[in-house]
Amino acid sequence: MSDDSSYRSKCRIYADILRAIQTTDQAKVTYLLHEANLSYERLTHHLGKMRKLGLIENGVEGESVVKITAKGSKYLAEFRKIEEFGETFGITI
Amino acid sequence: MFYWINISNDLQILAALIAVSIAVVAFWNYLRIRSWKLLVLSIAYTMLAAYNVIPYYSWIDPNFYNEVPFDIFYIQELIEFLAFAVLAYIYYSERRARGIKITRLHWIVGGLVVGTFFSLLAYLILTVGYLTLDLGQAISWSLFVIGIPVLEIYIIVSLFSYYKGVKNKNTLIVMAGFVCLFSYYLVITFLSYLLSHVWDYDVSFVFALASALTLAGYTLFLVALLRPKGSR
Repeated sequence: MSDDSSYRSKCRIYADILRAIQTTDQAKVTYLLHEANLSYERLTHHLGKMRKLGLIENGVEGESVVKITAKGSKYLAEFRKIEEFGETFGITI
Repeated sequence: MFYWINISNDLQILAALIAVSIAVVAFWNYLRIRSWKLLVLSIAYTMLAAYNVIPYYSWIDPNFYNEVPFDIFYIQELIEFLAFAVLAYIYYSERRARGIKITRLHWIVGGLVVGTFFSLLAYLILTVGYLTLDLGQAISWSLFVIGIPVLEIYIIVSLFSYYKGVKNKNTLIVMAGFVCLFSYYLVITFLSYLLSHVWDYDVSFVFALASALTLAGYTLFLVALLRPKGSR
């Protein structure tokens, strides 16, 4: 088994996607593919779920561009707090 | 004698309160994002709180230390051993995930430190009769009191390597806390031996000193937990 065998939790994947979107005002799917390090199928699957949860919404150009909602920003801030707690005690969330 | 032991118990109760606080925060965070590491962290700190709260019974019964069956101390040490084993498992998993390997040099240095500690402790218990235990008790007691420092050394090394990766000062503060917890055993074992057998002093204050180190360790955990966010 490889040493680098950590899988990202769903929460972390959502946070990584939201972080990537937050760095730009609106993010294209191709940009997110690279920044969130996901395959196209996995990314579209997660984006669909995140839309349903109200974390992101479509940009003016349709589904190929997404932007973060207020709920998404709040989720990211809360995740960062938990991430810092984990880092304090030596664990990666 | 009982004056110092009561102070020691007071300090350990404070340490238990801090451990419970950390366990509650970890569990609250677990409920929000369901990360197994947070759940395990919460369980480990709950066990550490239980370990520290056992001396509380000496408040309820003043003759606790005269009447208590020896088994309660086994249980207390077993709880602490399990707590550190659980923490060491989290850090082992973390190191594996980050691809940090334990090198041969680590094994040699760690082996020398642990081996020296183990040999001295075995010498004190078995040859000098330091704790006045029979052989069976001495062996099982040694397993706990040696197993716990070994796990603590592993946790300290793991936290330091984690700190080198994330450069978060809070991790370093928690690591310093574990160094304080580790020094508990050095104080209890060697200082009390030196004072009682070499200089013939009353050693009861050593228990309070050791508990103060424990509390210092937990206080550092609390400081790391409460430091303003973003002050990495």
